[in-house]
Amino acid sequence: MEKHILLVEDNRDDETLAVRALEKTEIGANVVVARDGAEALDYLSAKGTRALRSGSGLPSVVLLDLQLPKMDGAEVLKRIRASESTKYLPVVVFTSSGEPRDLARSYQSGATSYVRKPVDSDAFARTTQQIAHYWLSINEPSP
Amino acid sequence: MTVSERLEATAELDRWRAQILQWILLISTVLSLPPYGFAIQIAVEDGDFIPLGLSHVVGFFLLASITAMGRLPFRARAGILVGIFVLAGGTILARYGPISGGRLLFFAAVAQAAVFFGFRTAAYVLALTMAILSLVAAGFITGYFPETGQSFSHGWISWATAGMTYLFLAGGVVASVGFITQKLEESWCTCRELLREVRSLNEELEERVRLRTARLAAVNSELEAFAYSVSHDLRTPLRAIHGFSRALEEEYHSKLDETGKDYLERVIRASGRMDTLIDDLLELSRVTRSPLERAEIDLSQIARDIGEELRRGNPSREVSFDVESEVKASGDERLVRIVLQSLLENAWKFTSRCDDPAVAFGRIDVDGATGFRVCDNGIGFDMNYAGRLFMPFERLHSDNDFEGTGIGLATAQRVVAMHSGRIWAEGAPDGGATFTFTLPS
Repeated sequence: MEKHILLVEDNRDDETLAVRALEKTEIGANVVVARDGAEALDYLSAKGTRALRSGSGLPSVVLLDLQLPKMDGAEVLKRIRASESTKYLPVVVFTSSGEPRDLARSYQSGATSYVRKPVDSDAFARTTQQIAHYWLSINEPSP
Repeated sequence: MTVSERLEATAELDRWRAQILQWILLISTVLSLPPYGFAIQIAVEDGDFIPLGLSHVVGFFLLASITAMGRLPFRARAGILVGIFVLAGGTILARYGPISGGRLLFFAAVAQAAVFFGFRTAAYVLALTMAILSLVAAGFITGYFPETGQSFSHGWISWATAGMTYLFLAGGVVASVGFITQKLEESWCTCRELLREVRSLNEELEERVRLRTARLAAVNSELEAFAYSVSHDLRTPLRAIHGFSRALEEEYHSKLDETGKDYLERVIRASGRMDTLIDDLLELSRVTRSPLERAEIDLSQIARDIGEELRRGNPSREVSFDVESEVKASGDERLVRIVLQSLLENAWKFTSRCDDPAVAFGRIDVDGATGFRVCDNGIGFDMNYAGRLFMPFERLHSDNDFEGTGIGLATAQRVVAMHSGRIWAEGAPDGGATFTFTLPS
């Protein structure tokens, strides 16, 4: 089972930059991209078109943007936490916003971590890589 | 007839009615003066209270009806009251005391007339009475002079005048009672009216306050939403600009000439500056919206902390950082920190070209109150432009020389203003700068 990251992001630019940064990491993480909350939940719950996940199991970490179409990030987070199989799945809220309101809401909805997307692309790349490195190499996932 | 004409006519009528009444009163006063005392004296001595009582009752009802039809002026009523009391008192004194009732009542009537109609009329009354008394003395009218103690014939004149006096007095009682109750009722009504008005005014005011507060809350939440939008929606495309420019630089640098690389570099730098600008603007907006939480704060400690941060961010720089100890003030810690951060960062930044950079923070006396000062020996500024320092986006040094968005000082000023304090700056080109602010408690 290869380690991979689920990136939930609707903005194509942010997606490209994140994927680019993640591909440069030493661990060589694979990235699966979901465009909105529904896709992400489908993927994680082994239902729908993304079911079976081609035998790759749950991702090591989910990078979740808060600003998503249809269902917002916090709502997605709550649903991830509500499901037995994904209750302990590491979800890092990865967003531009630094507003205390979003921070509070994210943690209340069950975020594992909250990271602000830097505007500076070097910082962005570094941050993304650090996240990937931590959750894929250092963290021990729940059994 | 128009409304105003009718009102005028009614007022005229009232005035005439009042006049007529006044004349009736005046005449009856005059005519009743002498026999006053006599009638009572006799009645008391003879034990003859029945005629007294009878005429009193009759008079009461008659005058009550007359005066009920119109209004007596206040003086009239007062005068009547005076008359009653003196009459009663005079009776008692006449019977048991040394003073002649008639004489006393005479003076009472004069006083009554004075109150009624003024001193001039009182003089007339006096004159008239003296005339009647002279007639009595001359013998033209018998039995009027009480002093002689003559037997007095119960002539119809004395009864008539006595009766009129009682009419007069009774009416006065009714009128006075009526007047008093009317006034009481008026005051009561006025009171009630006023109270109602005050209450409705209060309610109106409260409603207005409620509306204003609601509107303020709405504006504030709009601002918050705007700031939020700025924060997120501006940064996303900015990230793309920066990110893809860097990507271009990294992956296509072999295909770019010097100019191309330079252009790209500028794009990158500009987007970085915009990011800082967004941060500063957000802070300014947040500062304005946040409520003030006052506490006792240690400015020395805050200054030292900021100094530490600056040193850690720039370990290569050797800057003499002097902080006066035990500098305390009353204010919102979070907001005042922003002020000190802005001032100290500036001092740090503008001494970057100095040979021997020095930054100091301390207390200073400002017209008897405590002020706080940050000074440096850096590049300084031209005092002619001092007024522009605290305006947002105004900068006195070019961007190439010193990085900065020009909002830090505007934010500092906003915070100081929220504390009802002042902030100002002094400086000279290449002569350093001193920023002073006050935090009144």
